[in-house]
Amino acid sequence: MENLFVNLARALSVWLQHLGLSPFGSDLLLLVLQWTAIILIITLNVLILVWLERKISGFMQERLGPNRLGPFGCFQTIADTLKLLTKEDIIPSQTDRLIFKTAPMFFIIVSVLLYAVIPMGRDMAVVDLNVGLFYFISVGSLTTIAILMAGWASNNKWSLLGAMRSVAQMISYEIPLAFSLLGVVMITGSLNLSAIVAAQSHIWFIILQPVAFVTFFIAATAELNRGPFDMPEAEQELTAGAFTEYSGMRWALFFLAEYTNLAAVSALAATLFFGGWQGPLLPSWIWIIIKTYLIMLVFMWLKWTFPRIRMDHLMSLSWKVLIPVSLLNILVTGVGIEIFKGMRW
Amino acid sequence: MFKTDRYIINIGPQHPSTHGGLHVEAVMDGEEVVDVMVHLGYVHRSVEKIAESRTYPQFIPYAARLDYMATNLPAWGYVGAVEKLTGVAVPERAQYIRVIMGELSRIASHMMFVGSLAIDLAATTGLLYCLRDRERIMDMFEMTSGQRLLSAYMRIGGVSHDLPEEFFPAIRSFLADVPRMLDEYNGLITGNEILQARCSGIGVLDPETAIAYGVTGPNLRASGIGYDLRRADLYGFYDRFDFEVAVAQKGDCLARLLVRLEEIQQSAKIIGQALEQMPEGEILGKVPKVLKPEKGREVYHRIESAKGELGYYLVSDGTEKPARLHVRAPSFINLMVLPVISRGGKLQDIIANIATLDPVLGESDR
Amino acid sequence: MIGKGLLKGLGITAKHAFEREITQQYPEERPFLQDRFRGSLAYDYPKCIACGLCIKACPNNVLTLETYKDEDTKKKKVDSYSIDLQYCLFCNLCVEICPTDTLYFTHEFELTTDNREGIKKIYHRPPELVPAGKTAAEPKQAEKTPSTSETGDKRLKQVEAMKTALLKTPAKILGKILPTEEDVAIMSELMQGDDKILAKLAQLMIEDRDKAARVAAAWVKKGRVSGPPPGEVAPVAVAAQGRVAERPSPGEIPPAAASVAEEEEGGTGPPAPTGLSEAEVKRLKQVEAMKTALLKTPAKILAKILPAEKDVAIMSELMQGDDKILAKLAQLMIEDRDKAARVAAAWVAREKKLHQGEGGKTP
Repeated sequence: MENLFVNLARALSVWLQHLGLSPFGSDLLLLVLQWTAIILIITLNVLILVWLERKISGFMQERLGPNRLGPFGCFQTIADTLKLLTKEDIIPSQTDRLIFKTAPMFFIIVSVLLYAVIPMGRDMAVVDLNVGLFYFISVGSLTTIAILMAGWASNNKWSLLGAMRSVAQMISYEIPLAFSLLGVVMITGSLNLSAIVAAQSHIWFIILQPVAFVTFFIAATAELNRGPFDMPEAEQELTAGAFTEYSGMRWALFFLAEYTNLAAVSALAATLFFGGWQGPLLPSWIWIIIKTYLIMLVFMWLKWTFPRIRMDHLMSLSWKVLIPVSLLNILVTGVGIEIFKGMRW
Repeated sequence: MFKTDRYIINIGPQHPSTHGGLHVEAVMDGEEVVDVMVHLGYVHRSVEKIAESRTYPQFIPYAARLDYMATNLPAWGYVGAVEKLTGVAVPERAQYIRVIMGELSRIASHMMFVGSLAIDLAATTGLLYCLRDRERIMDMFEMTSGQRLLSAYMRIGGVSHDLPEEFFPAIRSFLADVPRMLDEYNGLITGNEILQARCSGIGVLDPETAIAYGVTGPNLRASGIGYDLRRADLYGFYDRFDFEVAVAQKGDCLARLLVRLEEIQQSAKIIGQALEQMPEGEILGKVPKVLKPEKGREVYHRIESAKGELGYYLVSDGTEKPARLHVRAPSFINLMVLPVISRGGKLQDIIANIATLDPVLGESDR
Repeated sequence: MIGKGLLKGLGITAKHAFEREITQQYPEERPFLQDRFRGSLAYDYPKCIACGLCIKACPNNVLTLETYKDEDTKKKKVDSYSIDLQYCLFCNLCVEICPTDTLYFTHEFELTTDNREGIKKIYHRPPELVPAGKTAAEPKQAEKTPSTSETGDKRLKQVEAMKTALLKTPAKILGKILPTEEDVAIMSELMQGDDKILAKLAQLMIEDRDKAARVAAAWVKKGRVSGPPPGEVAPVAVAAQGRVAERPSPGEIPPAAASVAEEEEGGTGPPAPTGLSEAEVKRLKQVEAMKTALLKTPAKILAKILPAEKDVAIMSELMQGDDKILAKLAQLMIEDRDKAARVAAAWVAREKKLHQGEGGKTP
């Protein structure tokens, strides 16, 4: 069980070479297969997540949530997706059509790219980059461009306002996000996510870096555009923000991408602070799934409890609180590491 | 420096948080609000004109549809005006029942206020809890009058039904649960730091402006003026109850929320006392079959509705239909301060301001 | 400490996440309705004294009453009564003013229909009260009290003119509303034979051309099948309004349950008396068999459609006392079991209510 997927990949690779493909060709084909698997898993995962979110919000509000289609309404999202797929594709006449059409695709591509470096089990990162964390943060910040594209191309004031908020928010929150991860990197001495997981074999970094986790979590919520920081959408103010003019499957792509991001960031949090795939008894890939889902539950819990923060409060929270705190955390971590070293010697 | 252009953004009439067909035109400079214009009339149903073609009793269901969030209060105001016009006496028990149902309506309206403020600030769950508790009031309305939302319960000279037996245990348990409900709202909504940050110091309405604009009701009391018609212009036995007029000092969105939470408590207190004092007896006074007030008589009757001073100006021409009815709708007048309190704020503050002014568009557009 | 409020809020939502839901799963779980619940407005024909107070009380002109003068007692009686629920405010004013409890609110709250006509409720005079052989002369005595005061002389004059025109050039005018020449011929014959039909048609032609076409088509069809005396056909014209359209005559419904049956009936009705197809004959036989079975073992069969034993007893008594109820029930049992259950429940409820009324308990 433990090495199910790894062995599967190895067997496939051997079989492909056996068929007469060059090692490069078989690797390429394997990569394609891996990506297909990831995309499949992501789509399935989003179906589950949407259902879960509706269910959880329902429970919190003393409702049942979806309960008509299938056991506990679990086929509801599938029906919704089918509905979205069959809807008319409306593109308003005054839009910048090319950008309008590419924005959702760009968003989803960026979100899927995030999964390249996350180790989904022992030896189960698609690409085990040595600058994995750096890659994750830099690719993750690209989603802003997709939202900006959507907002700009829609030619709608609500959309533009949503897009601008998104840009401001991303720029502000990239910094505390990166700073809060620095503490982890300093302890590990590596940007490689697998190495970071390996470094947590004795103690999870949430215990060593609690402050970093809190700042990371807040910044990540903002990065994900989730409540209480869902500025670009801001249904109550901006109707649907950057996505106002989108409908049908194009809108659904944004939705899909947001949930994909949510899962990716939660997986990253699990990797950095909760020991990644490490855990007793169960296979590693099950452990990361469990941890990711628990973190996502917390995200949902927050969203359905808190009101939305105001835009300027959001900015001041980032610049006046999160950045100083995360900087301080780097300082403390550095001093702590030195002391630790000194004690050992 | 960058040169910035002002732009106009239209909030409503189709918008998630305008509480109906309200159109707010905001002149914006980035995220800052330069000016706000309120456009009304999207829910105009010509209620006042309808009154001229209906007999006095026939208008009661329409009056109940003015402020559908607190349906018994506008109906009470209307029947009060007609009683003043015709001199019909109301039995004591009926008056107590009116107080109970009116205060229940006020609680329902304020619960809706708290909930809608929560959802306008994106705390969806808060709304659902408020709706859940309001549902118990709706059940009580159904018990008594047969209708949940638009009960048309008031009658000229009394009320349409006596309170049923099952009403008393229901209301007692409701009153007993009010503190628990308020605890929950305070924990989830009022106590939340994000909400406090979004409400305190936002949309400040100073007492002078409030008076100048004719703002009444909880919005005025939130600005530090304890003007409550239940005390200031007595009607319906309010002198027999021991309750305090809820007042807050700051005049901001948070004060408007706190005043309403306090009023829920005070209303519960009034209902408790009314239940104890209520005598047995008739629920409908002696009302002539055909109501024909003296020609040329006119009255103005006002009550403290959930939104403020709700006044009815009635003119009789000697027939069984009024010659003219004018409704002084508190929502309409309260909405007029929206530009004043929104200027200089942020876009998101407009939403909080609309929510805390608590307009009901059915009443303001009539 | 900052963040305390946030944590408290999280605690509250978390606590509620593990509580039981408070919502009702509506179509499966039926809501509990209070006694006084105001659902659909209903009308009880036998109790009505045609005083018209309800019509005066109604703020929105929902109610319409048509009366005739009873020759024996010289009293006004109800010919038909209609409730246009789409305009109803459910304000209770008519129910309160009614001196005989004729109007009442039922607990039925699913009032949506997919067409405007279906939402109108029309109650007709039971056929026993229509004097035999006098139908042709009746319209002249019938006194109309429409709720609106708009039916002016102008309309009447127009109708008169239309009548004359119809008699002079039937083919030309009827050609506009009937598709084939054959139909026109049948219709003009019908019309010339019966003043009432003529009057009705003329009126409809003035008021609503489409409806005139529909009604005329129905008459023609009827005339073609059996050719009954025109006097009996006439009620169709009245019945063609609203949801009781195409019902041959209200004769199959027992008077006590007339109003209920009207509510429940929808568009279908008992089969036409003549020109039966084979399937209809077969069904008639089935209905007869069901009748016999119902009389033999009422408890067994009724238990299938009625929940309580008490209800079964009431129903079987009702059924044995009245052939029409029996016939109706048997027919419904064959055609639509669910509907039979609903109608039976309504009958039982009415019976219970009547008994309660006798007990002196005021609603």
